[in-house]
Amino acid sequence: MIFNATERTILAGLADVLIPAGNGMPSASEAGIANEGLDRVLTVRPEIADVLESILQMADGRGSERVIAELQTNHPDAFGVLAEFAAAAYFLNAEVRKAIGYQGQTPHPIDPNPDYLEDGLLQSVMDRGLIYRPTGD
Amino acid sequence: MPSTYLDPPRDVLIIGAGPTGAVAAKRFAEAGMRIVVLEQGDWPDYSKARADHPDFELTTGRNWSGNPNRRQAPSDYPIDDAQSDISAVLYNAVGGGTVIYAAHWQRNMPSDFRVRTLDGIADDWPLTYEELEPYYERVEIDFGVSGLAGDTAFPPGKDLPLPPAPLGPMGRIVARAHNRMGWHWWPAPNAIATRAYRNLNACTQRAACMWGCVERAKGSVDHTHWPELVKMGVRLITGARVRRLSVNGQGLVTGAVYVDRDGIEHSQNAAVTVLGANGIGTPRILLLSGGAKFPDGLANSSGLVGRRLMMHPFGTVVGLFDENLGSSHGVWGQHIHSLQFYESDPARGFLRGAKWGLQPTGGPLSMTRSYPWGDNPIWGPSFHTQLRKRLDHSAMWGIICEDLPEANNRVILDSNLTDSDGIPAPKLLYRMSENSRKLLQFHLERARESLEAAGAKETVIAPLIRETGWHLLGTAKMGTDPKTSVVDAWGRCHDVPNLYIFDGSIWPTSSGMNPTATIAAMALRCAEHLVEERKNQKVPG
Repeated sequence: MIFNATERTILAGLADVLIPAGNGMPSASEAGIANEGLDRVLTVRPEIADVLESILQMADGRGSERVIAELQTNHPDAFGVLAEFAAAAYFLNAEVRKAIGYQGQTPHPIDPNPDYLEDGLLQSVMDRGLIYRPTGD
Repeated sequence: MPSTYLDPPRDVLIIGAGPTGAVAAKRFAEAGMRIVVLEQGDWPDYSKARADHPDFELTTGRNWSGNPNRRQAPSDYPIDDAQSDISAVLYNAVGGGTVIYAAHWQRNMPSDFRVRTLDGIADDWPLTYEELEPYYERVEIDFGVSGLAGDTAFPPGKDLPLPPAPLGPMGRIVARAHNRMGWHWWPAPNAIATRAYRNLNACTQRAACMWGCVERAKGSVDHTHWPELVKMGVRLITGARVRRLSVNGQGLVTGAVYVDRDGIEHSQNAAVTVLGANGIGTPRILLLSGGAKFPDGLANSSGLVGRRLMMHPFGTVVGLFDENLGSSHGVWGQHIHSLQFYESDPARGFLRGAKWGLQPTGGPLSMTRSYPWGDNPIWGPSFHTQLRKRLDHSAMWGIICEDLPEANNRVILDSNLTDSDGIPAPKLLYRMSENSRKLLQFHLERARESLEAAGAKETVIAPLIRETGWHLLGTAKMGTDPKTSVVDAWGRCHDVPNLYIFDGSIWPTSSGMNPTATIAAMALRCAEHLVEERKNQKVPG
């Protein structure tokens, strides 16, 4: 599915209801979710194109907030797909990721120094004694 | 071209290349037996593991879904779950469920083997914790289990092969709270390599354990067992879907008929057959194998094949904290576990208990989803505020509830639905019991108190979702009486002396633990007994 400019504008409007600008963060459309974002999402999850297309048909010139309300009320599965697309595309934007302090599931090698020994944490558990029921076997 | 190819006979045929099949195959191979393993899936495709890519969170549900009805891979069979409160989660591949498990490595507690004696309900197991303990120790070495000896919820035992994963900020904050409350916690055991170990690399805490570990750090048997087993000469046939077991005139199993991916039928004969196809796949095969002689299914004179299905209702509570807990990362996996309310207390209005595992909550996309956040929408003007409150500031208790056996919770064959080879699909009839509902509610409330005591400013009890049936247990009960059980204490079918079941189907009760540790230990114990008794084993002439 190749979404045309008009369709992308409608999707951007819907996504802006979900992710408006605020707190120094861009809105969904400002983050390009209906442009590069949409294309990147569809590359990974092509199956959601059909749902987005049906949402576009449902929108049919109505206001974005009204469409969102109807999706939430009457079409929760479709709403879930739209929300997943909007948020996924938003978080694929490098500037957004930087602004929220998230650089992906980056490697965090395990520190070999055990943190469970801090502050006598474990000693407190051991002092409370065994808690299992012996079976006598 | 023959209608059915005759594959070379073997000493042992194992059906299923998950943890049961892997552990059993290793023991049999060490004993010099000739083994063939039929696996309907393929080797896992780790090129689809995306934890090191920006689109990781977007790919998890598509590439690594545990629901075969959603996945619909060529290796999958459909499951009719319309009459079940919980959908089954499983993975048909070399490695089986360990490919997608969270690797929580929980031994059962001693009381789990004595439920009838201690609580007056359900059944005792025909073995004790103490009898199984040496087998736990051996499989823990093979799986590369990390953790810390001395857990006060278990009898004293030996060190595990690897040190535990870090508690991390969220583990420490909850541990301190439990110490103030006098509640149990302990650094959690996981089948996750916290250091390089054998052919596993060290974990780097990408919190991606269930969706394709890119580091090869998770102890899934496609890494820990199968490469070596293939080198040892175990014949592993992938894309092999069993149609039925074959039975001779003496009532002995002679092997299995399977269909390969090209639709060609094969007959694989063996002296002994072992089922390790999980709590749904195993009864399905038995029910498919009855024929005219056993219309109720093979090995089913007790009528219990497929009955007593237990799936562990699962609950989740999330806490939101002011502190940055770094909870987008970690092992997933569990950082600490708590067994404070595991043992029965009749005063609570139900029997048995649950295990809690403290887990990360993932990256930003996970902060927006309906699970676990439920009726706490993030959308609209508060989006950015909510996101900052959740991302790296949340910790999650996952709660595994013990499910008691009930005859009417069961696996049957569907009268209409089939897999792609025309073999009848399984159908689940499962309703969560009143005991399980009370148990779950109690534990959700206590878990909420735990997080509040740790300083959570808000807590969210996740909605119950259907796709949590990771643990498929009980559908071919183990016991000493052939009238009330399917297999004996060593996994041998009472009705068919050269047919064995080693997987979670044989559990008399489900415990409230993640089951892979006990599935693996039981498989080793049963396999070892078969090896030791092989000279007395009845085999087809």
